Amino acid sequence: MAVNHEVAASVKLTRTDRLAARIWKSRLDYAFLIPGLLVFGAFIFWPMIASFYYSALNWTGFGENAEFVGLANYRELLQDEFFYAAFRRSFAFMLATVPLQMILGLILAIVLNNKLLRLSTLFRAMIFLPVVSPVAVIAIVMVLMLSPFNGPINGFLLDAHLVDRAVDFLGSPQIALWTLAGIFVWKWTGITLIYWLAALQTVPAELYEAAKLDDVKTRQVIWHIVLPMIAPFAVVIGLISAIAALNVFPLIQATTQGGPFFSTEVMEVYIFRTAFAPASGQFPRLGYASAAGVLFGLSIMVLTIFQAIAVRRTRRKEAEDV
Amino acid sequence: MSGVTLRNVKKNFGSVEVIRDVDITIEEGEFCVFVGPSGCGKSTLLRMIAGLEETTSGTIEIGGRIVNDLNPSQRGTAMVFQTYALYPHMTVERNMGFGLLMNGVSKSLVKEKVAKAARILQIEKLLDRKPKQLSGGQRQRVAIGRAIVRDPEVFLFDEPLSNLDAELRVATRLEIAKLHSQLRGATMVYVTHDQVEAMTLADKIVVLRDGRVEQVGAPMDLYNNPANVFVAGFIGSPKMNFVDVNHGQLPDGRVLRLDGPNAASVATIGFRSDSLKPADQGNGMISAKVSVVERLGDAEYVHFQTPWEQELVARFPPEAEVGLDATFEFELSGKIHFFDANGRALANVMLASGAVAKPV
Ligand SMILES: Nc1ncnc2c1ncn2[C@@H]1O[C@H](COP(=O)(O)OP(=O)(O)OP(=O)(O)O)[C@@H](O)[C@H]1O
Ligand SMILES: [Mg+2]
Repeated sequence: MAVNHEVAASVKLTRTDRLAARIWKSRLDYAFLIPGLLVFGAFIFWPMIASFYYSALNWTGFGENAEFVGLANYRELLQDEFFYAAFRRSFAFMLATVPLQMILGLILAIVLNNKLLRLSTLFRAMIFLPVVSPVAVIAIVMVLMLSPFNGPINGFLLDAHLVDRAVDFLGSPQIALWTLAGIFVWKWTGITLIYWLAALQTVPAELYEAAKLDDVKTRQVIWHIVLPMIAPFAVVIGLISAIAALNVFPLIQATTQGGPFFSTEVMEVYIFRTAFAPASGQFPRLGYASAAGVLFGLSIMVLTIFQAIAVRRTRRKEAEDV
Repeated sequence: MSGVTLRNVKKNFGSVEVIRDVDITIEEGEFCVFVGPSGCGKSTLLRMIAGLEETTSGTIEIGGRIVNDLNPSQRGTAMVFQTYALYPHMTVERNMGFGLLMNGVSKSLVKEKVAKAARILQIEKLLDRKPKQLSGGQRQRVAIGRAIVRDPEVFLFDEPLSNLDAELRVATRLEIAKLHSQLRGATMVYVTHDQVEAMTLADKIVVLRDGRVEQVGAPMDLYNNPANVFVAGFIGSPKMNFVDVNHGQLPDGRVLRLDGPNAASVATIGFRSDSLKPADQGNGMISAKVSVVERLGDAEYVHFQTPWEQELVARFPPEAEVGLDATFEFELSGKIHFFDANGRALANVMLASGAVAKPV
């Protein structure tokens, strides 16, 4: 037994030795990693850890008056109807945009994947244009387009007698969030399109030809061959889109800032408001905002874990299919 | 059942001419093989018959009907793809019956047809499997089964064996030949770049090069009477030997006596490996040095190099003790082929025996 222990110990020793030796051998590689690690640590890792700590403080974010309050912020959050409302809006926004974006993207991808379609690259580029345009620019353009006073969209709706009065797309609490969802889908469908186009590349050209020889109609080809073959990708694309749909801060900040009457205050806007820009007469509450951020972050993390599992499943299925 | 006729068929991809004025007649029930080097346009031609590529000009007739403007599904053809093109998410049974089901054929009739095709191909036990659970040879059969189920008048095969290993390729080749005799009357057009496949399967071989038909004929026709140097070199294994001559003179100065009205135009003579017969020292027409010996069991193919560094191959009986670097003298006997400066075969030329003048 003693011998065994010794052997085990020596094995362990040589292992660590070897690891050290290996690290030493690639010291230059590690040296090159250091700047990146520092940046990552300072701007991503540290804030993540720090927000956990801040969430236990009662703190305005400046000054030395931070007071440790434990879980009090969390307790208060669970009573805060603004928090719940924002949380709900974030997920409602996600549930509204993701299916729409995926279905639109899929239809466009199937149409544009047809090599016989002339100008399909031009169309792809056009649909991709909003994706690469800065959010701020899109926000300004959309605010002008959707304006109830002289916006061209209302002009058209009125001229076509589709509405009796100009619609205040971004100014009415009932529809502002859905207008933003529409803008969001318009901006990001190009990305979903690209994902679907990539998925469609996994269907070999010969399958379409074989179906053509068998006199299978296009509709049937899509329904019975193409969709089943790209279905596994839907999970991954859906989860990527879902996470993306929770990141809408720039769009909302550049258009409605959460208004009118908090109707577009999604989670990120809520966090921003409580942390930095409270209503007049209130103090900023960085600790409280951090607690909200932690809860929101955890819920996104759960989604991300689902995504990772789904990606791995799809990969495995792919490997089996080949 | 019906034959296929191509008349003045041309195909351009953009400005590139890929098929240049091709005329081919394939009789009803014939097994016709398109053979030629890679890129010569075999697949393109087959896909034009199937209707997967448009015909730039000329007409394609199937069973007496001009099909240029018909959809692939209306042409009465079925195609077996090199990559099989099976639907990966469907079972074998559904793969085979899918086309019929989508066209409203009743489930029971489809089941019956699939079962019949499966029996012919001996894949009845595989009907519930998905393509990924099959071996390459089994996938190949399913692909053929999918074609049979359609009851086509013309079967089109594009290199169906090229993804199989050598042994399976030989076995499947036999089965395709069997299938042809079983499906009496079905016309088959088969593309390959392997001349052995062409020789063993075909009733009629079409040799293609660069989008043009070089020669059409029965396998032994092409073997015995190639129309030009290209066909002579392409058909037959090992490859035919060629030697350049100038008014009968070989590069090393020896002179072969050629007789006949076309003797003066001979620029190349061709002969197969079994036409080279060893001769006594000093009496041969060609001398050459052994470079490689290939033992096949029933014969030995001995590769030689002539003094002017041309490769020749001669067939020797098994266990002939041929040493490397040995020098041999050869007579030419049997069928000798003569070609003019443009590579076209010449008739009416003979090689007079013992026809050697020593180098001066
Ligand atoms: N879609 C296309 N666009 C442009 N050129 C093409 C296209 N398809 C084929 N070609 C060209 O046409 C020529 C013939 O191609 P084809 O596929 O018919 O050759 P092949 O005889 O089947 O060759 P292989 O034995 O390699 O399959 C080639 O030079 C090829 O580059
Ligand atoms: Mg080919």
